[in-house]
Amino acid sequence: MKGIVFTEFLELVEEKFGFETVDEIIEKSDLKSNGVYTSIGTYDFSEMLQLVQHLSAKTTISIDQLLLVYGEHFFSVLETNYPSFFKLYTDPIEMLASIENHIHVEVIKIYPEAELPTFEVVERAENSLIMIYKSSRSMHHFGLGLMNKTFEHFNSKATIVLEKIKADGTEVKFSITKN
Amino acid sequence: MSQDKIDILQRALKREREARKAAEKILEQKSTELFSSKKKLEKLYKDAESDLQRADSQLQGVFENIVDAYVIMDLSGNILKMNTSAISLFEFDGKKVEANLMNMVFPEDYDTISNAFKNFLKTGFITDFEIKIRSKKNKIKLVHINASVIYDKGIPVAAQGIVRDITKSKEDELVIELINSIAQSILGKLDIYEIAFEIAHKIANYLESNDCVIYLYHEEQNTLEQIAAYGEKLDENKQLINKIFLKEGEGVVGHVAQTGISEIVNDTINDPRYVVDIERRKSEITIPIKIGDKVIGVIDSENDQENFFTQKHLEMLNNIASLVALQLKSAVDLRERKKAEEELIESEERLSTLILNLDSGILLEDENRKIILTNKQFCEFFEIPVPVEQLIGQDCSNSAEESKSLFQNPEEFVKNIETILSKKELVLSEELTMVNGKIYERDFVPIYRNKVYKGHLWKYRDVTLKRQYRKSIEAQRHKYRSIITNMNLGLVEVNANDEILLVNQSFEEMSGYKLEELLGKIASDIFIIDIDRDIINNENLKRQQGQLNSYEVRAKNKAGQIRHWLISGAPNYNLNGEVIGSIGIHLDITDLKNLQLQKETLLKDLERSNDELHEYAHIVSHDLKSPLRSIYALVAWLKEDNEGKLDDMSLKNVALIESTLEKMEQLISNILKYSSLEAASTQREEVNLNEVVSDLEQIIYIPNHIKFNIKKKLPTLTGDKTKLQQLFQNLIGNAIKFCDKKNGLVEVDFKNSGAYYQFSVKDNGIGIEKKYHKKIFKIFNYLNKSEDSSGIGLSIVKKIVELHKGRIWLESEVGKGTTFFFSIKKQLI
Repeated sequence: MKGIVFTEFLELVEEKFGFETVDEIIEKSDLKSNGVYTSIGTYDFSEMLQLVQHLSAKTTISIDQLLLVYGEHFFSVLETNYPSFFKLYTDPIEMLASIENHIHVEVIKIYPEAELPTFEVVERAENSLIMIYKSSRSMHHFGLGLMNKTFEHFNSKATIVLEKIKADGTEVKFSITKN
Repeated sequence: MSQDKIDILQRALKREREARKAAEKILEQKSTELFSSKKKLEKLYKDAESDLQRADSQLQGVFENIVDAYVIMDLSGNILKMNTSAISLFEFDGKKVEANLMNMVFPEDYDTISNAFKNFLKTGFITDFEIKIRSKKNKIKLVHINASVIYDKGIPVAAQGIVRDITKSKEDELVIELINSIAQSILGKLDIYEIAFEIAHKIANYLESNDCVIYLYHEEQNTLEQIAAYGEKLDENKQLINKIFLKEGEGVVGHVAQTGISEIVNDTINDPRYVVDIERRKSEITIPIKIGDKVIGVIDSENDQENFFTQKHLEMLNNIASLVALQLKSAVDLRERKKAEEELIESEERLSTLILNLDSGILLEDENRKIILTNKQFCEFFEIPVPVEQLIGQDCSNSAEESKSLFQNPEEFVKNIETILSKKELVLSEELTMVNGKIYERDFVPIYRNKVYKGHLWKYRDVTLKRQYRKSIEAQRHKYRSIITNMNLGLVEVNANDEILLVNQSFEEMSGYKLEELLGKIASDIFIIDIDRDIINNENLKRQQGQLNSYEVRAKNKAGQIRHWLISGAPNYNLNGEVIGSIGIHLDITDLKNLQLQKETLLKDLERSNDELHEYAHIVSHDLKSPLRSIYALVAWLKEDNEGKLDDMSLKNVALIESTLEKMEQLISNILKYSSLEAASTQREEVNLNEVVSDLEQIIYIPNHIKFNIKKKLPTLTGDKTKLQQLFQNLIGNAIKFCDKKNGLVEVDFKNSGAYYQFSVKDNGIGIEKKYHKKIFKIFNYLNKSEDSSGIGLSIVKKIVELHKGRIWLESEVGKGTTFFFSIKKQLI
């Protein structure tokens, strides 16, 4: 997992819960990197898992909720770092529908080692979209956060219903309807 | 700050520091990688540059020294640069020339070039482009071009190309191709027209003259037939237009066919042999197709240009001619063989169908008496119950024996066949009578080929019907002939000119002439007397118009006697329905005519004598009456004078005289009456019989014991009233007179009976014996001597009935009564 995901995560934790919490979840976790992260490095996903789990335990906020918030936060990182991406799109649905075929393709170009989830478009209309999310990471709420922010970015609103196709969250159906 | 916080911060700081180091390490690593990459790239660039330079100079040398022509031109076709090969190819004089390549191509290729050039600019190159050019020294060359566009900063500015002269190789290629393709296209083909068409097609393409005609030489007719062509000689259906036949020696083609030597005519206008086919063309090439020295066909091509054909063409076509000769020959042979075979098969089929369905029985045997051919009719004649085909090949040696039972004289039949077969001579129309009554006619035809006996043909015909017809016709003829000969009517046949062709025996007798005397003579001249000539002419005319007629003429026989002939004539027709004469039936009616004349005379005599008789009767009865009256008066005087002197006896006698005189008087009156009952004096008027009968009742005395009865109201009819009254008076009077019964009965009745009324007067009197039934109607026949019956009453009755066209008869039984019946015509005309 790209280092920027860790560094941004820990910055958000520090911002929301204070550097003590950051320290605590690092200390409690058994981290190969010893909690040393640089945005240009690459780290094991299990470290993120441990960090999120310990944060959830400490704050009693569910992992999904945490990931949702983190997703919303991470959107701003993307907005800052890759503004050219957003210029390509004028419509949130259009943008979301092209995650798999365009955005992730571009991501792979920059980060050849990136491990990305798949978003399979099942149904698409002008104002609605149904996609199946598939990933061993089960980070669907991270995705949901990104989606929420996407609509916000285009000054639009949407109702997004999330259904787990597999109980462990590795396969989830997103039903997005633009309001 | 608590220790905890310090610890936390220290840990965080440590993590940050380590993170920075890690990041720096990554960056350092990346920059090292980048540096080494740059080094590598620099080296590669240098290598490439030096390679390019080397290649460039190499290429320069290649182009300069290349064997092929190398040309650089601008995009308008102006030559910018070229090598020595190019100079010699285009036949320029020096190296420095200003020339435009576009001027060298042929106008007809402009379109091709324009298209190719567009494509060339688009793709940047062109390969294997072939085009015809005219060199500076006016030589036509075929060139092969590979070229590419030269760009300056991406804009095409010029073109460079390698040009190769392929004129010769192309020609060679074409020759080989042509030979190959001709060989290929005609190989295995057997149809002469197809082969010839292929040859014409290929040669026309090769010569680029769009004209080629193939002739076939027919040796037996000495003619050349156009069998195939290409170009303008074909219509849209690929059929030859203006197909001409040339005599050997006619035209260039005919000449070549005669000499067997190929020719080029460079200027046809100056060649008197030239024959215009579709249009006049300037040059001609003519090649014989030969097998050995024998010409079997000719290849001919013409062109609009003078001097078009070259020696090379001639050689080429000669080669082709020898190549195709054999194939053409075998196709011709095949065609002829096939044609002959087809004709043979066709005629055989026709013949066998004909034979199969012939109404004669046919049996064709070979020299070994095996059946070659027979037909249905034969099988039927000989009652052979197998299909015709099964008989083919059968042995006939024993067949005569087998079928002899069908013949009336079986042994003779077998013997006859043996004789015929041993003689092997033609036998025609032999008659054979079959058991079943049929008559066959048989022909035997031996077949010799080159004087060698090859078999024979039996032919049987059923002539039964023919025979029967002939017989019955003969019989009919005989019958009519004997009728004609023996009939009592004279028969004369004349032609349209009234010349006698035939007369029968009766006519000979009638006319007194013999047939020989009459033949060819004009019938009317001989027989007809002048006053009747008009009749004859008139009747002859009618007959010629097809009318039947019948007329009487007076004719003169040989003895010069005039005879009356009744002639019935009918026109005689030939097979086409035209009147060719007439046949007249003559009946001599002279005797009949005489009889008729006699009868007429007799009748007149009879009338006269009748009248005389009538007069006589009248006079006699009248004259008789006056002496009778005198006697009566004298007797009365005698009686008066001697009154008282005469004794009773004398008085009685005087009275007897008186009554006898009275009776005499009555008799004479009745005779007078009878003789005056004449048809001529019979009146015709309406007579009401009821009145007649009621008048009678007043006149006739009817005793009281007799009952007079009229059964129904009587009719009114036309007749003579007085006579009818007499009729009824006589009958009723008789009935009353001869009544012997206590209760007498007289009954009058009638009934309708067609044109007649039938009346009856019935009584129950004494009756009349059967034997008198006829006699009583005769005059002076009375059965009963009675004072008041004169014996003339019923004869008067009969006469009156007859005057009214009726008849009278009676039924009677003696002692019981009599009924008189009589009929009266209702309308007496």
